[in-house]
Amino acid sequence: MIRTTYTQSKAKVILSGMALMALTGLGLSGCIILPTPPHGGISLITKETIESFEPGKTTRADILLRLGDPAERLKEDRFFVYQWERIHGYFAAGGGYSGVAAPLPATHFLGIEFTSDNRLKGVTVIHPWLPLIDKRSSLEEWMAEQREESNP
Amino acid sequence: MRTGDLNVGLFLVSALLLAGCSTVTQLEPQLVSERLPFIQDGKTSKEEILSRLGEPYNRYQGAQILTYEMCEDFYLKGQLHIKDTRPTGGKTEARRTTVPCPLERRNKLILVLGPDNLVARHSVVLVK
Repeated sequence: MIRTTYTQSKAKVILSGMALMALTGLGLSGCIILPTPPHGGISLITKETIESFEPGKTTRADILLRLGDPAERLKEDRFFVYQWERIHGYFAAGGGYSGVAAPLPATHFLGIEFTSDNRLKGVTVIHPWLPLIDKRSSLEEWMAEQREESNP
Repeated sequence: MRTGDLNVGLFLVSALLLAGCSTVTQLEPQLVSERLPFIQDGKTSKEEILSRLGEPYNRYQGAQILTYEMCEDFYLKGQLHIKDTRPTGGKTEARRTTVPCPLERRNKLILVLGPDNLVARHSVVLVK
């Protein structure tokens, strides 16, 4: 027991020291998050593509032929989720004569709902406006709303 | 201005300029026919597709829509190949690979079958 207490105390001292060093380091160096307009990215689905879909007319086949496999298939294919990432800013840190920078991506979602006869019922597009913000919950809310509308 | 600040600034500008963008698009139908000549709307059967390309990557609407993953192959000078999922070899349009496509190169072959189980429509969706 004593040994354990001693070890804990030593660990606390080491951790406190590390935290102090980190805080001092941050204070002595420059650290910045620079938000930018969304740019770059992978598997980007354009606004024009999404706007070309017509509820009640566009079929599941049309969407698959145009966009390929969705990232997720939910509720027995009632919902498709497509997603892509764009860069929404950069993190940069500099100290002394050196510096590092890294892009900050954010995930965009396209939620698609189909009718029971495989036609498009509705879509939602969720664009995060800040980097590192997960908007997945907004997509979940939209799907829950659609389900409630169908089963009031 | 310190050299470190200048380096960070230059890096940010370079990163903004170099940030690539890959968009989901469809391959021109003519190019699809050139690369996958055996697939013809109204002629190619589901059985032929399955025997030549193996198990699809995904099935939809009771297997009336099939999808296959296509990678750009370095050894084929960037040509697309379909991942072969069949357990045995043989001459095929698909190319056996155990290496998954990189995320930015997950192209898809989409085949929509009609009620007669013939290919009704097809496309290749590119991520480029």
